[in-house]
Amino acid sequence: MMEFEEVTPFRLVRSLGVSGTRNPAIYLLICDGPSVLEIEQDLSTETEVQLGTVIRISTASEVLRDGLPAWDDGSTRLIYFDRWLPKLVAAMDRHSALLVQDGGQLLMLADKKFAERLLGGAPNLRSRLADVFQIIPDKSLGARPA
Amino acid sequence: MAQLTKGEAATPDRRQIFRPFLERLNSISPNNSVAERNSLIVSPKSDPRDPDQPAIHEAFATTAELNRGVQMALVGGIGSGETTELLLTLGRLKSHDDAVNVFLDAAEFTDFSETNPGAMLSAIGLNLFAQSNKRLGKASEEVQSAAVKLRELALGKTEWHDQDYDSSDYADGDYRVQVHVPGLMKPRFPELKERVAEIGDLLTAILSPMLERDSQITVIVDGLDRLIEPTRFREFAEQDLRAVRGKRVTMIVAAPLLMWYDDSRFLQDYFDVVRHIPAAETDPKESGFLKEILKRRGANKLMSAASINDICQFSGGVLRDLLELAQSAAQYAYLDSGDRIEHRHVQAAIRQLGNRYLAGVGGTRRRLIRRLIRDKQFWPHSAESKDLLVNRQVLEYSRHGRDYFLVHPALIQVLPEPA
Repeated sequence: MMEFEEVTPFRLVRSLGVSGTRNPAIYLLICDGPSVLEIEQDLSTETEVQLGTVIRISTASEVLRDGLPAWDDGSTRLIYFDRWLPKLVAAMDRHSALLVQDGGQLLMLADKKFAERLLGGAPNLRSRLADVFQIIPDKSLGARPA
Repeated sequence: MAQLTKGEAATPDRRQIFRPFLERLNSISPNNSVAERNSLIVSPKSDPRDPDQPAIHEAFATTAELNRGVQMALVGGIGSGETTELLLTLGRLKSHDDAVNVFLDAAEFTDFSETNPGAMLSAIGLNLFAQSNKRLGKASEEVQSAAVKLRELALGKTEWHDQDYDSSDYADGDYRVQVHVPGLMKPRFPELKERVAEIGDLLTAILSPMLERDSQITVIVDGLDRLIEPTRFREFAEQDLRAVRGKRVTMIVAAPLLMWYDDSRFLQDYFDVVRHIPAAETDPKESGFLKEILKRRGANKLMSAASINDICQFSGGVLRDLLELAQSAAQYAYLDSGDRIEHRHVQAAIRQLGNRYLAGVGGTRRRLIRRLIRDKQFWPHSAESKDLLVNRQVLEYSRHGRDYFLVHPALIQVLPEPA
């Protein structure tokens, strides 16, 4: 049903690079199945190589339990929705204006079902998304682009 | 950095073409100075619902200057520019030396996950106490003690108590249960909760040194529109806002869009002044407002007039969508190795935005959307149609005193044909 543009970790990080790592933005990335780990690894590598920073990865369950720490080190944060957590999504929706107010970029990684629920049920958060992509591993497009 | 060899042409850093534009499109970018941010704001010239009336921020500021203690509400859909109007109001009020202004985002003082009467009032009190100290120096003991008590109520405290529970207290059956017998007269608004009234008294003490100097005190609360549920907003108003009444503190709050369509007419009943921001006019013949927002950010250096028009039109007049479309189009142009934003980049950005709006729209809502497209009929009363308004799949407009609804133009672009 949803047909968002495809992007690879390489291209996504390149896009983050043009905005600048201190230009706050929230992206929703859709990824199904076993490639999630691969995507996370590719994103980590590309962030380090292209932006010279690290990507801090948490699961949604961890964020619900421990909260989302404030960041001021220019790092990129990634939340992987390992479960559908309506409480967390509702809190993120209500606090959407504050999620990246300290600068930095937030990536939300979810499967198609969770992404659709998030887009449909969190209007404040959705309106603050810089973009939504279907993310596929770099190797799906062959060799790493020059 | 690698040295260029002789005869090798320098490759321009394309990031420097797009990055400044992207930063100017991002309203919360810390890379923009306050002066830069202010220079990017395009002030509306008049009330969006009535071109003969002053702009909303002008109306709010004038009312705050002349009628201390009034309570005003600004209602609008997500991304409609409420925060900008509130910041413009604040900017004008700041021009007075005796003005004490507090700007709060509701998410800073409460989680909203449950009703929390008194939280906003506490945040207002603590902020005003800080301002009072800054302007007037160290407060009197009475005011300081009120602030300490308020802080304890707001943030909680840890106390140690002796355990003195004695079950024999209840052994003789001599205990009483409170039973409430409702009266015949129904109050206009429910009673203030005891805790809220207590915080209200502390606020009075904190305000006293500023009011003795005849200060003009205005509190602007943004973010209450994110409550979405009208009942939740109403609870805030009936408790926290009502406790401020009569204290000569002007309140300006952002209210959720659904309050505008609420059958109880609570907004109009409770607030002294109510203003509504509909989606902005997208027809360039009627208004150049959207175009000016993009031009102010340098869009005309990176894209054609036709592309600017497309972005204005397909934003549906939702200001945040206008900026998002321009931002996405710029990023696609960069990834496409171009130096300019082309028609195809804008079209891709429009499809992406449309798909966002399509997500989660089930059968009933699709029928409502199709009926609006086909028959121009939409009634904002059912739960489904209200959801469409809150989620901005359907936008509310006002032109020449007539209100009407349209489907978001980016959604129309991707809406599948009925099976």
